[in-house]
Amino acid sequence: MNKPKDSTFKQQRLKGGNPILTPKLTIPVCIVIGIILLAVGIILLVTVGSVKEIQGRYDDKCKGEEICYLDFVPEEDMEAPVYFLYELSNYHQNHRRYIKSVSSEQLSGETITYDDSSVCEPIRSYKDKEKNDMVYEPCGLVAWSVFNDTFKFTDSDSNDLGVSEKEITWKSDREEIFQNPSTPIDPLANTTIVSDLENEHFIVWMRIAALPTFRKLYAILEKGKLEKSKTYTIEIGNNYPVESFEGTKSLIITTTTFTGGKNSFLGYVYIITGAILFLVGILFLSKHLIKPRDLGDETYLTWHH
Amino acid sequence: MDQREFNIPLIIEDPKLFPFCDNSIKSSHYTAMNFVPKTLFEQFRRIANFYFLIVVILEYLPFSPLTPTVSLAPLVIVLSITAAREAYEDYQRHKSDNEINNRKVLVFRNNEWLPIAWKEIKVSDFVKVQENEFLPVDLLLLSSSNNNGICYIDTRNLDGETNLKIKQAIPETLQYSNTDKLQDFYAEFASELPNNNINGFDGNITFENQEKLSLNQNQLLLRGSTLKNTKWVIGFVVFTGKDTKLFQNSKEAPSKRSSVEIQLNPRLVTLFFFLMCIGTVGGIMSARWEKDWKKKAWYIAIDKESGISQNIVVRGIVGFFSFVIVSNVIVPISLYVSLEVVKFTQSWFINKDMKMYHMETDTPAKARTSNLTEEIGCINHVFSDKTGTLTCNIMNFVKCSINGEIYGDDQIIGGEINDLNRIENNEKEKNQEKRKEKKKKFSDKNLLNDLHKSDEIQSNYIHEFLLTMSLCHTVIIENNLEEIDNYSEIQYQAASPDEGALVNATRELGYTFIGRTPKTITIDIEGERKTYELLNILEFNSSRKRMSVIVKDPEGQIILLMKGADDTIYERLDQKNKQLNSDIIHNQIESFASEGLRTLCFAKKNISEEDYNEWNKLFHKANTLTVDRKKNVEMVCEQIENELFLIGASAIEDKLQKGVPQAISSLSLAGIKIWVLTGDKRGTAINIGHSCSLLTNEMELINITSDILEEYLIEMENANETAFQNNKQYQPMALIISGKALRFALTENQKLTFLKLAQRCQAVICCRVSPIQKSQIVELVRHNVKNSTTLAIGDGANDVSMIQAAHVGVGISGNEGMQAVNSSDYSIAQFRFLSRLLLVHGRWCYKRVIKVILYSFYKNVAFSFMQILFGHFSGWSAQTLFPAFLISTYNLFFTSLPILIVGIFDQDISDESEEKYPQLYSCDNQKDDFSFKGYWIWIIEGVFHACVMFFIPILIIGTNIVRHDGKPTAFWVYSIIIYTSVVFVVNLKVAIETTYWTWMHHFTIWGSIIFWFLLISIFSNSLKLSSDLHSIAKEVYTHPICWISLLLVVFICLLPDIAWKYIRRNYFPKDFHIIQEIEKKKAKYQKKIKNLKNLNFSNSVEEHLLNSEQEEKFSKISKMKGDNKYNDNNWDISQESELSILEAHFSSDVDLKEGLKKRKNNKNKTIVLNSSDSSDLFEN
Repeated sequence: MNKPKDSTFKQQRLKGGNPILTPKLTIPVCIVIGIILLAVGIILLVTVGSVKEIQGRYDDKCKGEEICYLDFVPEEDMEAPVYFLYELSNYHQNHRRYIKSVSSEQLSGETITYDDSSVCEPIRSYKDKEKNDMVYEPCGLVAWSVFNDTFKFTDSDSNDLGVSEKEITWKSDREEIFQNPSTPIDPLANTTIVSDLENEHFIVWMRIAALPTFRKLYAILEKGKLEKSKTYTIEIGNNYPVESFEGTKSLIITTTTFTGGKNSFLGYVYIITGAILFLVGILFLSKHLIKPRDLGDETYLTWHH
Repeated sequence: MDQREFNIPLIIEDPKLFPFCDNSIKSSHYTAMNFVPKTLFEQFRRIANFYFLIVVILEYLPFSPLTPTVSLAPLVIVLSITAAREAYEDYQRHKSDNEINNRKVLVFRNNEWLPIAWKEIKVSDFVKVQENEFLPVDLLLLSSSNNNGICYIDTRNLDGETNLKIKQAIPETLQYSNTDKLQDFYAEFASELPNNNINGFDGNITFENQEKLSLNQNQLLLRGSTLKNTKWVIGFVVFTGKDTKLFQNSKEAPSKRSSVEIQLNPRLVTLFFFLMCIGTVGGIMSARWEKDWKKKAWYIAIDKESGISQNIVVRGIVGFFSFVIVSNVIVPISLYVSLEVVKFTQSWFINKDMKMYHMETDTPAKARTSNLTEEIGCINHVFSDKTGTLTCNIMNFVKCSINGEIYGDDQIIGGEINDLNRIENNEKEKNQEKRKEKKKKFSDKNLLNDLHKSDEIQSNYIHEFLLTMSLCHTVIIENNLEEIDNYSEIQYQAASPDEGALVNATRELGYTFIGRTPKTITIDIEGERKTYELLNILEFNSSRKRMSVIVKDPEGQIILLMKGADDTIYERLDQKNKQLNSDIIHNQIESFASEGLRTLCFAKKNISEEDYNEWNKLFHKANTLTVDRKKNVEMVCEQIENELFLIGASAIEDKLQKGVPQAISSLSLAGIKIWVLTGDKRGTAINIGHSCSLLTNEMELINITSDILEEYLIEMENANETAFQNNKQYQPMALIISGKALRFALTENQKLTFLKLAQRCQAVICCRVSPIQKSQIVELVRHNVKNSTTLAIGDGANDVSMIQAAHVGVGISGNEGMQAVNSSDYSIAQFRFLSRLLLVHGRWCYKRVIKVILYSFYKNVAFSFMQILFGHFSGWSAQTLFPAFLISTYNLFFTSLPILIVGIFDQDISDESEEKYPQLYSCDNQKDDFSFKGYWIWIIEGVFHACVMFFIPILIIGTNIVRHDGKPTAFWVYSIIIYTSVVFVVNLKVAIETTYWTWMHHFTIWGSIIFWFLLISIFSNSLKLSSDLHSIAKEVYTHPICWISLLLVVFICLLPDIAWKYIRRNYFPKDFHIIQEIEKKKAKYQKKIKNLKNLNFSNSVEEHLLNSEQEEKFSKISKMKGDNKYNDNNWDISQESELSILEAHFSSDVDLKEGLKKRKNNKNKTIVLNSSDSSDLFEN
C-alpha cells in the first residue's frame, strides 16, 4: 500500500501557533515597553549625571616644550576611584596595515625567526654587523608607535597624588598574553623605548582602539579624593608627535558608574525610543477606540463585495 | 545509410570492426577517476559557486585583507554537501547498472543454449527468453512455445500500460524452435535505424533463395518488457544497449526551471552591482585617504610598504578589490543549499499528503521534480485535457442511432469497462465483484425487437451495425475460453475504453466477440458461431481518427468495416449515391454530443475480390518498406477507405470524475484561467463544460467554428465586437473554438488577435484539437501573455507535448498508461487533487521559498554593509570589522537553520482555509512578494539594520569609557558587541517573519543564539585559537553597557518592523490577515466550548451531552470545510440548518455569545456566560 502515514509531521500539522498582532496584544505591549524604555533612559541619565569629568587638550598648550605643566581645578569633589586617561584624535589605530603589523607569538615571549616576522612588515628587522637579518623585539608598527608621553600628577603642594599605574589592563592580557622572553631582550635588537613587554602602558597601547579618536587608561587614583576648588598639577613629558596628522592629545580625569564615564547619549536614545514607542502606542490606542476594526470580519475580504 | 543490415549468423572476421554497440548499459554519470573534476566542473557552472571561487582566488593575492580559508571553508562545505549527494546517487546508479548488466539469459552459442550475462549479448545472437523474464534486448520473434508463434508481453516499464500485448512471429520462421534448426539458420536482415518509436518497427528478412518477408512491430519484443503467459520465445537480437527503443526513449525531459529561479539571477546581479558599488566607493576613498595621509600618518608607514606600487590608480584598484573581498559575504553562499533542502522537503510533503492520496487506485501524489515547487504557487493558466482528466475514462454505451432510428434512450446498454482489470492480481477477486455490480444487464427491447422484426431493411441495418461493433476493434480476450461456462464471464482487454464499451455492449445484445487469431475473428451471433477471415486491420491513430478492418465473411464476401469520428467518416461517404438519412443521422449525432456523449460513426463497404487483391498488393508493398512506411501505409489506406455506406452512430457516456466541478470553481475563484483542450465534438465539450461548472449560465458563449479563412476572420471580428463592447465590461464570457478554426487562429498574424479575445474570456474550450495544437496553444499563451505561468494537465500520450511545453506539467496517473505521467513534473490520481496541489502546497511553497530567498539576501546585506561603514572610520583600509573566522561561519552556523525551518514549516494560514478561500491564491498577490519592490524593501531593511547595529554601539561606546573600572574598550570588544547584536537581530527577524511556531522554530532560533554564546566562550577561553579574542566573552558580557546597547539595537531594528506589520494588519488588512483572524477566532471558539464542557461537567448529564454534541457539530463543520469537502453531501435539512447557525457564530463575537445562549435556552438550561468571557477572545 502506498498510502501515506497520518503523522503530524508528514501532514504538516505539527502542533504550533500563530501569534497575531491584534490591538489587544500590541497596544499594551507597546505602551508598557515604551514606559520601561523611558524609565531606563531616565535612570541612565541620572546615573551619568553623577559622573564628574574634567578634560583638557594639552598638545597645543605644550607645543614645542618637552616638559610642560598643566593645572586643573575640580568643580566638585571626585571620590576615588578616579581614572586618568589620555585621548588621541585623528589617529587610525584601526588601520588594517597597522593592526596586522604585530607578532602575537613574540608578544607572548616566544622568539620568532626571521621568516615568521613577515607579519611585522614594514618594521621587521635590521642588519647586524655581519649583515645578518635580525628581528626587532618587539617588531611591527603597533609596538613601534607606542605612546610615550608621561604624566605625573601632583597636588598644589607638589605632593605626588600616589596614583597607580598598575592594573590598568585586562587581567588576562597582563597575566596570560604578554610575557617577556626567557632570555632578556638584546638591547641592539630593540631600538624602541619599550624593553619590557609586560609594561602595562605598552599592553594598553597594544589593545587596538576601534575608532580614530580613542581614550586609553593611564593611571588610577585608588584612594582618597580630588577635592573641589583645589588646584592640581600635571607634569607632562610631551614626546609623542601628533602635529603631522593634525591629531590632538588630551587628558581626561573622570569618575565612573556602572555604565562607565560621562556619556549621556545612551540615556537620550532610550528616552527618545521610549517616548516614540509610547506615543505610537497611544496613537494605536486612540485609533482603536475611535474606529475599531472587527477582527476576522469576513466582509473585509476583498472578494466579499 | 538509412537502414541497418546484417546477416544471421553474423560473419565478422575482426571484432574491432563490429559496427553495433554492446548491450551493457551505463546510467551513471561519473567514474571513480573523473568524479572530482567532473562534479567540480558541474558545480562551478552555478553562478554563485563560481563567484565564490573567484573570491577565493582573489584572497590569495598578497594585498587581500582576508586569508583564503575564510571563503574556502564555507565553499568547500557547500560543494561537498552537493558532491556527497551526487556521489550517493551515482553509487546507486552504478549498483543498478551492474546488477542489470550481469543478469543472465539463454543465448545460443556453440550450438547450445548457454546462460550469458546481458552485457555479452551481441546483435544477431539467438536468445531464448523464459516466462516472466525481462527482455534483455530488442528481439525479433522467430518462434514461441505456442504453435502459432504467439506470445504475450507486459510493457508497463516502457509505456506504463498494464494490459498484455500480443506479439506473433511470421509463419515462415516458426520452424526455428529447436537447436537443430537454428544451426542451419541463414538469412539477410534489414531494418530501420534505431529510433524512439515504441509502436512502430519496419524491417524485412530474406532467407536464402526466398522472397523478402515483411516484419513489423508485431514481431519485435522490446527491451524492458516482460514475457507473460508464454513458456518461452526464441528470437534474434536486432538492437542492443543504447540502440534499443527503451534507451532511445529515455532521453531526459527538457529540464524546467521555475520563474522564481530565473528571477533570482537578476537579483543576484543587483547584489553583485551593490558589491561593486561598495568596492568602488572603498577603492576611491582608500586611494584618496592614502594620498592625503601618506606623509602624515607616520605610524602606519604607508610609503614603506613593500611590493605594491604607490601609484594612486594602483592603490585605488587594490582598494577596490580589498573592499570587494571583505564584503564578499553579501552574496549568500548558503542560499542554493538552503533552497535545495527546502524544495526537496516540500516535494516530500507533496508525496506524503494523505489528502492527495487516491484510495481506489492506491496512488499518492508524486512530485517528480523538486525544481518547481514554488512555480505551482503562482499558476494563472491551466490547460486541461478532457477525457480521462476531467472525466473518469469509464465508458458506458448509452445510445445509438441506426439508420436514423434512435435506440437506448435513458437506458444503458451493455456494461462498463473500466480500469479495474488493470490492477494487481491479488485484488482481482474484489474487482470482479465490483465489476459485476457495475454491469447493468439491460438491453433495449426496441432494438432487439426491430432486429427480429420482419422489417428487413431496419433489421439488416441493425445486424450490420452490431457486426461492425463486434468485428471492427483490436480488443483481445484475457481469459481462456475453455474455462468459462458463460459468455458473460469473458474479460475483454481493450486499448481504449471506448472500444471496450462497444464490445461489451454487443455482447449484451447477442453479438459476442469470442476470439481472434491473427487471421480470423470469431463471433457468436445469438448462439451461432461465425468465423470471419481477417484480411487487414487499418489501425487507429489520432491523425487518422478512424480504424477499419477488412474481413471476408463466411459467405466469401469481402467487406470493409469502419468506425471513426463523424467528420472523417462523412468525408468518405459515397458522394455519388448520397444517403438520404445521412443528414438525419448527423443531427442525431449533434444532439448526442450536446448531451455530453462521445460519438462514433460506423460505416461499411463491400469490396470485390479483384479490387481487394490489387489494393492488397500496394498495401503489402507499403508495409515492407523500411523508410517512410507509416506515411505510405496511410496513403494506401486512403485508397480503399472511400465510397463508404453509413450505418449509424454510437453514443458513449464518460462520467465526470468526482469533485471536478468543485475543483474547477475553486481554481477559477483563485483567478486561474482554465482552458479545456479536447478532441471531442463541440457539443460534447460544451456540455461537459457546463457540468463541470466551467461554463455558467450567466456566461455569454462566443463560438468560432468556421473552417474557411475568410469566414474565420469575419467571425473573429464579430466576436471581438461583442467581447469588447463598453457596456459589457463585467459580462463573463467563454470562448469555444474548433480545431479547424484554431488552425487559422494559431498562424503568425492571427494569433495575437485570438489571444486577446481568449484573455478577455473567463473560460476557453478548444474542441477537436490535435496533440500538436495542444502544445501550440500552451506555447502561444506562455510566450505572449506577460507574466503567464502555465500548467498543463492530462493523462494520455497525446498530452505529452503540452505537458512538456507548459511551465508545469501535471500527469493524471489514470487509465491511459504512464506516458503523460512520465513526462510530467507532478502526477496526481484525480483532477480534484489539482486544487489542493496548487492552493495549498503551491501557495505555501511559494511563500516559503520567497521568504528564504529574500531573507538570505537581507541577512547578508545587513552583515556586509557594515564593512563599508567601518571603512569610513578605519582610514578606508578594508580592515574587517569582525575576526575572519566569524565572517566565514556567519552563514553556516548562526543564521542558516532558523530560516531553513521557516522554509520548511511556515504556514501563514492553514490548509483548510486555503482550500476554503481559493481567492487567496492570486498570482499577482504572490508575485508582489518577489517583485523588485519587495526585494528592495528587504535590501533597504538590511541596510537600515546595518546602520543601526553599527552606529548605535559607536555612538554609545565611541570614545568613551564604558566600564566602571575605567579600562578602555578595545577594537575586538566593539566587534563582538556588534556581532552579538547581528546574531540577535537577524535571528529575531526570522522570529517576526515566522507565522507558524512549532517547537522546531523555537529550537533553531533560540538554539542559534545560544550556539553563538557557546562558540564565543570557547574561543575566549583558549589562547591557542585566537589571542585577539582571548577572554573576550568575559570582557564583553560582564559589563552592563553591552546588554543595554544590545537591547536598544534590537528594539530600534525590529520595532519599526513590528509597528509596520501592526499598521498593515489593522489599517490596510490583506485577505490573509483577515483569514488568520477568522482562524484564530475559530480556535478560540473551540477552546471555549471545551472549557464550558469542563465547567459544567458536574451540572447534569444532559448538559454534558449537549456540549459534546455541540463539539461534534463543530468538528463536522471543519470536516465539511476541509477534509470531506468533496464527499457527497448527504446532510439532512435539520443538520444543514444547525450548521448554518454554527457557521454564523463565527461572524462576530456577539453572535457567538448569542448563539450559544440560544442553544442553551432551547434546552431550558441556562449557563451564565460571563459577558467579558467571550468578548476577550483575542486576549493572549
